[in-house]
Formats: sequence, structure tokens, C-alpha cells
Amino acid sequence: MATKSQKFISFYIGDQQYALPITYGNKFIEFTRLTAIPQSDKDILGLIYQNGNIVTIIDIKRILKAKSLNQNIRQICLIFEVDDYHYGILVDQGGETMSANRIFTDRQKKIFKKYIKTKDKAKVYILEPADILSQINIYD
Amino acid sequence: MISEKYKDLYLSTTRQQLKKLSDLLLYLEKKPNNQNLIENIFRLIHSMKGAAATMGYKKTVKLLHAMESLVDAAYNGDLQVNKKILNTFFDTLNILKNNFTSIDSKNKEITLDKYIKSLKALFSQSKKTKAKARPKEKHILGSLPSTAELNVSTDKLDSIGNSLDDLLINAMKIKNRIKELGDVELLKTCVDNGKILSDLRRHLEQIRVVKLKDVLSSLPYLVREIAREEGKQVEIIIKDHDLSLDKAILDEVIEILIQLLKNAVSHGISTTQKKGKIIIDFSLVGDRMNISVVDNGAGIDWPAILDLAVKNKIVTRNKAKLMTLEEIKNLIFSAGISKGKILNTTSGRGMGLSLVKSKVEELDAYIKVDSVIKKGTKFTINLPQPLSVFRSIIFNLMNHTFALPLDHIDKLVALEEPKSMARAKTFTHQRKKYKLISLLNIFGMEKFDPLYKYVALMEYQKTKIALPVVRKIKEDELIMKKMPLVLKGNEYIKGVAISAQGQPVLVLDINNLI
Repeated sequence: MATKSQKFISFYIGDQQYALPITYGNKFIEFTRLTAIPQSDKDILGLIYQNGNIVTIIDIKRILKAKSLNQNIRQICLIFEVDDYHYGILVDQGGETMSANRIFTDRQKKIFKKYIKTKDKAKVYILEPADILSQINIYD
Repeated sequence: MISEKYKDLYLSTTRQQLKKLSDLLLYLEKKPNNQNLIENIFRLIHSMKGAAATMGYKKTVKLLHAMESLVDAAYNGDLQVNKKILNTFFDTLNILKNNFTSIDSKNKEITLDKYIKSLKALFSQSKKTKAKARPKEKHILGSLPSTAELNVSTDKLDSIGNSLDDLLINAMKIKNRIKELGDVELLKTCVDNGKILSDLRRHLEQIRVVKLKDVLSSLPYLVREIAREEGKQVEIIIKDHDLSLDKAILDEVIEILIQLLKNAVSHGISTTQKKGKIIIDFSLVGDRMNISVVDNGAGIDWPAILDLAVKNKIVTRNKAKLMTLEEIKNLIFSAGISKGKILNTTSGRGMGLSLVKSKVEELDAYIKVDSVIKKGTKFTINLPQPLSVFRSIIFNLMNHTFALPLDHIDKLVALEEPKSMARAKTFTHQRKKYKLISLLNIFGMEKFDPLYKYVALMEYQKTKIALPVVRKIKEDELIMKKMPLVLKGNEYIKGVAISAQGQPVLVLDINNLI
């Protein structure tokens, strides 16, 4: 039976590859300065400006408790859009787009359970935008 | 049926036409013999009929044709526009609105046969009993001018606005660089370009901004209809003071006002009242807009509201005993209260006030209520006015960058020597005492005790305030952008603006800092 394939944009944090479902407005951008927000959640790093939009930068590395290899001043983030608001997650390196016909579930994980497999059977965990936002207190 | 791709265009055009028809009928109610008005109504209905025919909405075409015949008869003097005819027109307008909603949501027309029949019956009657013998004039359509209106979605305007903002930021960057290089000739061209871009930005904003009176004109019709259904006499006065507002915000404000008006007519004003009156007043206070909705109805019985809150387990009996009047007033916006049937026991102002409150909060505004039994009720909404391009001072405090709009600042005082202000409550300048505002305290950074070099002096709503500034102060033109969700809960920040360097800056809300 034919199944509809899903498209993802992949990225790396440390040596782990992750995937974000492709939506309108996804792109990797580099930045050096961001505007800190007083009294905000620790997982929110601040704000940047990109193509007419204010982007809220989320420290996904902190949420995932992942080790980062990026020690540069220039940071890379992957931008996504939810309900007309723009968010960016900090990544170490941008990757290619991926298609997957099958989504797997890692029952041992509490969040970000879904994953896809690469050709060499490596697990690439999916970060759904709604799940990312559920992990931070946006109105802190 | 014509392609579905034209449906959006049909819906947006018809939505405007229905609003226009409502306005024209309200005018006609005041001046039933005005030929020009009747002519315009005819033209509008004819145009709506053409659009419906193009889309293949046959029942709608028949209804509009029947109404068009009646209006034509009125224009030719075969029919006198009296209360009965006016009510028929208003009823038909209501049916058209219901039909429109059905087309929009369910993609089908409602049954209109009954209404078509009654319009036709009225028309036949008019033929038999010609009201006045007026000289027969040529058919209306031949003499009508044509106008064209464009519908542009706010999304498209936002997209143009964003590109223009980027262009403006680049122009500011170039201007600053040329200033450093000292090329006067080039600087002049840059300044001119900057002005043109700022003008373009303002023109774009003007497209988004609409006069309040253009949108509010539908409210008297709404009040008239609710009052008519409930057999009440209600007059509505709208004091718009020729103010304007962003269309997207105004659409939200209208929804809030509709809910407040429904409450005022249904529950505030009683059937025994001979002169029910509602006044909607708009005013600018500082950089915010105040909207008050005042009725002369029965008023709200606050002890009864409190009893209901206890009964519905919104507050405990013990807590209720300790509540202040302001806290009790806030209860009226709770879902448990506003959905309750409290109408007769409390002069009830019930349904939907919790929805009003949530809509108000979505706009970063706030609402308060005052009410006196047998005198009436006043709802006041305080709305932030969106700033667009504005000059501001920008300063850093710890690792944060803040902006304070220049029009708030009376004077910026440079201190003789850097000074700690950790313990000071006031600041004195030229024998005048100013209340000192500490951003460190407000933003929970009390452990720091920096030395301040400047103090910004302001007077806001008769309060003299002083804001100490550490360093790196500069004046710049900023462009206000859409507030991200992460800042919506922060009452001390009005929004985010972009500096000439393309850096987001947090704009302080002086009103809440006080």
C-alpha cells in the first residue's frame, strides 16, 4: 500500500542528527547578537530580527540536554513558524532535507519520542514545533 | 457554477456591500424621502444581484431582485417608504446576512422562498395603491455613476510593510556610515531617501488605518435591532472624535463593543425605561486609547454577584468576606459568573463578559467596570496605540537593551558624577521632586548596584518620574514590530522595535512602570 511520505529538515547538535517537519518559512540563519529578555524562561535565549519578523530564539540544546560542539560567536538557528509567530532553535550545523515513509516511536523517551531512520539505520529524532513550545514557559 | 477561486472575492465584496446596505438603510430611516439615498440603495442591490448571479447563487438573486423591485418602486414614487417598508428592508438585510454566513461556512444558500414571496406581495400591493403620482423618471441604472474599490488582505500589506522595514533599516545603516565618512553630498541624498521611505511607511500605515466612524456606523443598526426585538427604546450616541485605528485592531474592538452593547440593551436597560441611552466615547490618553461604554440602565448589584460567585464555587465564603470592591468587580469577567443566568436578580450583565475580557487581553489592553444601582454601568477599555516609526533613547542595563520613546521624555539630565541609586526613592532636579523608577527592581535584578550617569525626567499623567540610565545612551529612530508571545506577559514592555543596526530593542511601557 502506498503511504504518503513526510518531509523534514535535518540538523545536528553535537554529533546527533535531528529533524524538524518542513513548514513554510523554514531556514537556517546565522547571527552574532541577540536581545535578552528580562524575566523570561531560561530556555528562551532572546530575540533576533530576520526579514521583517521578530524571531524568539529557543535554547533547544538545553531542553534536549544535548552537548554542543559550537564554540563560535556566530550562532546558527533553524527558523520555524507557529500561528504567525517566528521561532528559532539553536543548532550546531544545518543538514539536508529528508523524506520518510515511516515514523517510529521510542517508548523509552518521555518527549520527542518519534523518530525516522536513515539509510544506515541511525535514529533521527523528530522535533515537532508544538512539542518544542510545550517545553518552555512562553509567558514566564 | 463559476470557479470556487472567485468565492473569496465574492465573500469579501459582499461583506462590504452588506455593511454599506446597513448604513444606507439607517440613513434612509432618518430621511425616508431622500431620492439620492434610494438611488444608492438600488444601485448597491443591483450590484449585489450581479455578483450573486455570477457565482450561481440563484435563490439570492431572486431575493435581491424582489428587493430591487421594491426599491425601484419607492424611487419611482409607486411606494412610500414608511415604517413597515423600512422594517421589511431591515428584515431582508438580516436574511441576506444569514444567507451570507451560510454561503461562507457551509457553501450553500438558505431557504429564501418565504421572504421572496413577502417582498413580491408588498410590491404587488404598491402597484395597486400608488403612493404619489410622481413624474416618471428614467430607470435608475442609466444615471448612476460607477466606483471601484480594491480589497487587499492585511497579510499582503504586512508583507510589503516588512520589506519596507528592511529597506528603511538598510537606509539608516547607510546614512550612519556616510555620516562617519563625512560625505555631505551623499548624506543629503541619503536623508532624502530616508524621508521618502518613511513617507512610504506612513502611507502604508494609512491604508491599514481606518476612521472609527467608517466602521462604527453599523453599531446603531445592531442596537436598533436588539432593542426592537426586546421592545425597548434605546438611543446610541457614538463620540469618535474623528479618531482612527488600525483596521485589524478595530475589527477586534468592534467584536468587544458588540458584546458590551448586547449586554447593555438586553440586561442593563429595562423595558420600562422610556429613554434608554448608551454612549460610546473614544479618547486618547497619553499613548493609549480609552473606550468607554456607558448605559443608563439598572446597574450591577455587586453583593448579588459575590453571592453568585460563592454559589458557583468561584470563591469560598471565607474569601468572599475579605474581598475588596475591585476584586468583586473583577468577578464579573469570570466564566462562571458571566455564563450564569443572573439577569433578573442582579440586573444582570452576564453573557460573554469572560469572552470580552479574553479578547481585551489579546489586544494587550485592560478593561474595568463601574456601576451604580439605578444609575447605570460604565465599561472602560484602555488600549495601547501601536507606535510605528518613532524616535527614542536607547540604553543598556546589565545585558538588556531598552528604548524609551522621546515623546515621553521632558529632559535628560547628565549627572556630575556616576551615582548609585539603590536606596533612593526620589530624585530632585531644579527643586522639583521626581519619583524614582528602578528597572533593576522591576525586572528582578536588585542584587546589582550600578553607577548611573544619566536620569531621564518625565511627567506622565500628572506624575513626575525619573528613570536612571547607566551608560551607552543614544538617540535613534526605531521601527515598531509585532510583539512576540514571549513578551505578552511582561506588562513593563510595550513591544519590540528594530534599531538602525537591525537589532531588536525592548520598548518600555511608561504607563505600567509608574
